[in-house]
Amino acid sequence: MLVQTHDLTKRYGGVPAVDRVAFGVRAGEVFGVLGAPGAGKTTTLRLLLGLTRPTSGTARVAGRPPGHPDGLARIGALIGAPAFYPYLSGRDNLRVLARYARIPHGQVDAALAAAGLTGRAREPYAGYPRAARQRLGLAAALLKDAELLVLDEPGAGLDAAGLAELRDLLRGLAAGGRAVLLTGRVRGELERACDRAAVLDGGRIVGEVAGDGG
Amino acid sequence: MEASLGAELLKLRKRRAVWSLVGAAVALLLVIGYALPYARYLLTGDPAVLGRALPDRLAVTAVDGDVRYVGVLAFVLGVLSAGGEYGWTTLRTALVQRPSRTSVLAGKVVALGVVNLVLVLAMFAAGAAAAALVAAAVPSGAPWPPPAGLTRGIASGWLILQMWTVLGALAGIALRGVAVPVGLGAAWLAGVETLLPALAHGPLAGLRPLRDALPGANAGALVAALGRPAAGGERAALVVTAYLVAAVALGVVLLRRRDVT
Repeated sequence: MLVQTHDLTKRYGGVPAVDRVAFGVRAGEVFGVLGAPGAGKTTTLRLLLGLTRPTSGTARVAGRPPGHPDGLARIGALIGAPAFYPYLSGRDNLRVLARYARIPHGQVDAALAAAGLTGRAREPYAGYPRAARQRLGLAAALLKDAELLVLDEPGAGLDAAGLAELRDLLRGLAAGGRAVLLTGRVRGELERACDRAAVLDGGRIVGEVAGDGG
Repeated sequence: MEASLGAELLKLRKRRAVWSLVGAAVALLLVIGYALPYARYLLTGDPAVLGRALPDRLAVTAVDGDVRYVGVLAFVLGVLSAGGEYGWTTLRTALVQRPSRTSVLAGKVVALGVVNLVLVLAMFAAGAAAAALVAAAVPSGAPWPPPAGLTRGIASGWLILQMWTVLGALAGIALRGVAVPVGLGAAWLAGVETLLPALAHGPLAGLRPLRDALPGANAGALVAALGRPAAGGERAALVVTAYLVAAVALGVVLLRRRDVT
């Protein structure tokens, strides 16, 4: 299992944002955490990446506790709306992330190409339209040769062609043995890319669905 | 830490605001330290008004502004570097790559130290050029400071700027943004650092121990010691260093303990 959670809980002022969530994600599968806005999807991913500390419960991600540098080295992630330095170009933004991740700069151009951003690579991020910002977020997640991809609403802002491209990309990653954990809406466009999915409501898992895996 | 340092240096090198602050600091030095005294000399004809604009006072003049106006710019540099990560929510983008929170802050502090070294050297170079022009225009026979004096001045200037910058970074982290820390920093430097010494010097002598503990007062004592080597510069350097170390330590605690949204 690349992700395993046990009763993961996060409360803000006594109000549960994530409530005793338990699931696992295996290598070679696309696993969805689906739900309406405010269901606790992003908070769940933040907990798994160590950005937020749980109130109770435990998780192991890429064989380590959440947020451990050795675990993060094996994870590619896009959390929330893409967040980059507006004064830097798309390429320089990825160069900064490559330095943090201690990976060769040669992978920057490959990630930009995989996300379909080669043509805009030298433009300042501040001028990117929404879809290009989302693509740069995906490029950042693809920068490492990661065993696990954690993608928060990866289809946000993409048009139908972009979504179809993304579904193919995710299925290709899973077919190559990588695990993909993504969030999205129930019956959203990306549900079809999932092998399995947990449905979240009010911070709790209220059901599981088997996707069609592409 | 090397990985974070590389990332931080790339961000700072490419950020126009950083070089605007450096340019503003050098311009302020040239105007306040050299152009205004020279203009006063042209109006009065009295060579004594040139004072600090002559070569022998280079180490003091180039660093003097670090206590106030260049100090404000250094504080803003720290706020922009650390607080900007919250404003743009880029801290989470950085943290999910791999680095620990401590190494991100360590990389930031060292990278800001590099920028401050560039700033101090630029101010000394600009100050030396301006002092040479003044000396050529008004021959005074004033000697250039010895290398040891210049080195001490550069080290003192760097220490003072790094303290203000790291205090700015701490304010950016504590308040998770840019606007409020910049406002509070300006209020502190213009208000507390100016008002408290004035009150302690006048009607409220009981405030003197508090005044003597202020970062600005100790930065001022460090600069004053450059002109008078026996004036207690060591104590001031220790206090400035203590503020620097305490700000880094508090920044690490805040960054490690709080959730990143």
